[in-house]
Amino acid sequence: MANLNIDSVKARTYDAIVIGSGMAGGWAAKELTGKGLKTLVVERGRDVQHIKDYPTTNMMPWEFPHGGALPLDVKEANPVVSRCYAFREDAMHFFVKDAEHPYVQEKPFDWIRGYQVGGKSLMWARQTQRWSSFDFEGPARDGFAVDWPIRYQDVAPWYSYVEKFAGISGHADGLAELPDGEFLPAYPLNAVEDYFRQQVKQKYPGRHVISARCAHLSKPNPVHYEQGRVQCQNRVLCQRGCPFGGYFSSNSTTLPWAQKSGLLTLKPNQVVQSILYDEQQQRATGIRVVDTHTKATTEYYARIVFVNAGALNTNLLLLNSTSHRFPQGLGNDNGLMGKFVGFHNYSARISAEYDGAKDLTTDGRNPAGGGYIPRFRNVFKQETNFLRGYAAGLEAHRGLDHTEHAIGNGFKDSILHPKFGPWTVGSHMMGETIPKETNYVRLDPTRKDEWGMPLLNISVAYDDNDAKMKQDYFDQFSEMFTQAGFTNIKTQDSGQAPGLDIHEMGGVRMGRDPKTSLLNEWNQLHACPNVFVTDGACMTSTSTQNPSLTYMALTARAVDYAVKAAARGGVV
Amino acid sequence: MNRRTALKTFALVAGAAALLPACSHPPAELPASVPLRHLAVNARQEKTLAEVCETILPKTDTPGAKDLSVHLYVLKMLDDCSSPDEQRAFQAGLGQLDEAAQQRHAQPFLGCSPAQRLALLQGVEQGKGFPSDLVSFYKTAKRLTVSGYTGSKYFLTQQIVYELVPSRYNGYFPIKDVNLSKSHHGQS
Repeated sequence: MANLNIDSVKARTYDAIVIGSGMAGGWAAKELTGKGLKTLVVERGRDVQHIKDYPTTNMMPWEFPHGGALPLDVKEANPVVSRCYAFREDAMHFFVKDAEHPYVQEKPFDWIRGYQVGGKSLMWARQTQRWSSFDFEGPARDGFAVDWPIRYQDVAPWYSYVEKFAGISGHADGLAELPDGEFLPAYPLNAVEDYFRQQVKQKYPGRHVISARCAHLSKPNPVHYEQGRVQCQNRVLCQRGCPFGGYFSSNSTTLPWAQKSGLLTLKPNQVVQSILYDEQQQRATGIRVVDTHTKATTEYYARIVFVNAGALNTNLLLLNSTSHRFPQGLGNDNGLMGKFVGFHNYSARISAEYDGAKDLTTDGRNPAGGGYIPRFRNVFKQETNFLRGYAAGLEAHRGLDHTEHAIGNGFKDSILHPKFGPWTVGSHMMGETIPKETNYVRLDPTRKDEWGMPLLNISVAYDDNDAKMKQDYFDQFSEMFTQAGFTNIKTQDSGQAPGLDIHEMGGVRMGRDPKTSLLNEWNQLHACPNVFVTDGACMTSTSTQNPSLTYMALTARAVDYAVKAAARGGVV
Repeated sequence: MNRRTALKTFALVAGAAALLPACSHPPAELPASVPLRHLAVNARQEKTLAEVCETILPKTDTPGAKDLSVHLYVLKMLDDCSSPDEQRAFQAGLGQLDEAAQQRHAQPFLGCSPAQRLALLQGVEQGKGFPSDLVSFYKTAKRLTVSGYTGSKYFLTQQIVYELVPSRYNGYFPIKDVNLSKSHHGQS
């Protein structure tokens, strides 16, 4: 532009810019517009509007050409995303295909992504547990990573704030290791999950089986109706997008709310290449984006930038935002950006059968999925030969069986009139991993994608602590299942690579000291305080809880701080 | 025509059909009736597969596999979702089925009576004395026949009714109250 048009710059200037429209970005948009800021949200993927853009949501099972299964050519073309449990015929269109967005696996890492408005909030598993004091105090107590600059008390009111709006079902269990929240009624445990709860209560003091807490409207409040959402209808087809708004997503909840303010501009199909830094003002001034279709680049400007691109993409973008002042990436004075990446170890499962409760089954479907067992290892003190611990899911199910080795009339009869089989019980481990400098992401030195972004190299692996923890999970759960009288107990080590947990975190961690962390207690880059990072990239440690609820709370908290500070004419 | 006459006439026609030479069945030169990208299955093999599916889940007072075109589902799933190995074994096994029928009943599978077909496939179900591809073909055909039948609109609307919108969850539901033929049986 030889003749820079001042009006054009004005038209591209907002009060705040949010990069990404997923779990965290949706919240940033809602909070910023709610506080009167003219806000631009840029999203690299296509637009997905609530209800209108859920093409499979009301399809019957027989309407899918392959009964829900993946065609072989799709699997072969997409070995990474095909390993994701939710990448099936009904929701394939919400996942990034391997070839579309390549990355470099320095070590095996299944990077599961959803590039669209709403991001992965559309297809997430909707489990929402608060962190506890034990989680925020973990690194300091156990001597890894750096101390979190915040404690549970700092986040608790923001948990309450986001829970009331999002709608979280759960039961007040009164556990220090899993604080209660602002709950809608919990989904009850079924007969065998409840039986196991009682068994554990009797035989294992300090261990608890509770109803999984999830972002479903079991009984909506007025605010949820105001959002245009109604009670969850127990379809459990959530990954397709929910026409009832029964679960929380950016698409159903935060983005439409932000839209109603009249202050939101949402631009899909925009890949952010870099955040612009002004040496004179010593602040970020905006972003440079490339349109995914036209490849045209544009700059947008704002006083406040929220980076919510998704944990690893937030690392990629910041590392790529270089300037004379920040040659290693925006805010990366200490060279630690991209390092100390953590994740959750989901590679262990256990299954069994239960011969009791024969006169009972379930009716309808449970959107919470069943039970949740909060971390019970090394909570109050270090008691094992590994650091930290694991939470676990618990599900019991009564299946219908037909005759196996038969053919003809009798076989058909057994299919038309199946018998109830035994209850099957399953659990999966959700293990905390220790963020380490050797688990990192970095920019590929040579290769770029078609939008001019360097490919992301990912070098993340399990360690010895993970192996010991997994063995403990197998041992403890085998014993607990045996004690409960379950039979046919089978442990299963999936051998899956990191990443398939879809809980990658860190790389731009929070901390008190700019020498050892990138973000301060308000999620501001120490060295560039008008840039906030509130997605998974900010996480100093990983704990065992599903992280989305914490991203929501940290985002709302950071926006509140940013807007107040701006009003004071302060650091932002 | 009273019912008895009708049955007799039907038996005659059916008997005549069984006596007709194999060339009254779809000729091998014709392709299958559905587009296939990987499998090489001709019209006669398609008909053979349809009768295999029908033998596994025959028409009774409820529709059989053929009524629901389950064999076309089997072909589609194999063609689109199965590994090349499984496809090869399926095709080879489908050919071996006719050889086994020739050995035991002196005619191809399509020429066999329903009772002969049942006896033959019951033998394969036991697995003894049959080539491994034939056993593999049968197992694949059976697995997909079951999933095709139980995943069909008929089954999920008339037999064990699929509920798109259950709107409820009860974790302590008495089995005595389950009625699978009712739409609110709670099991799907």
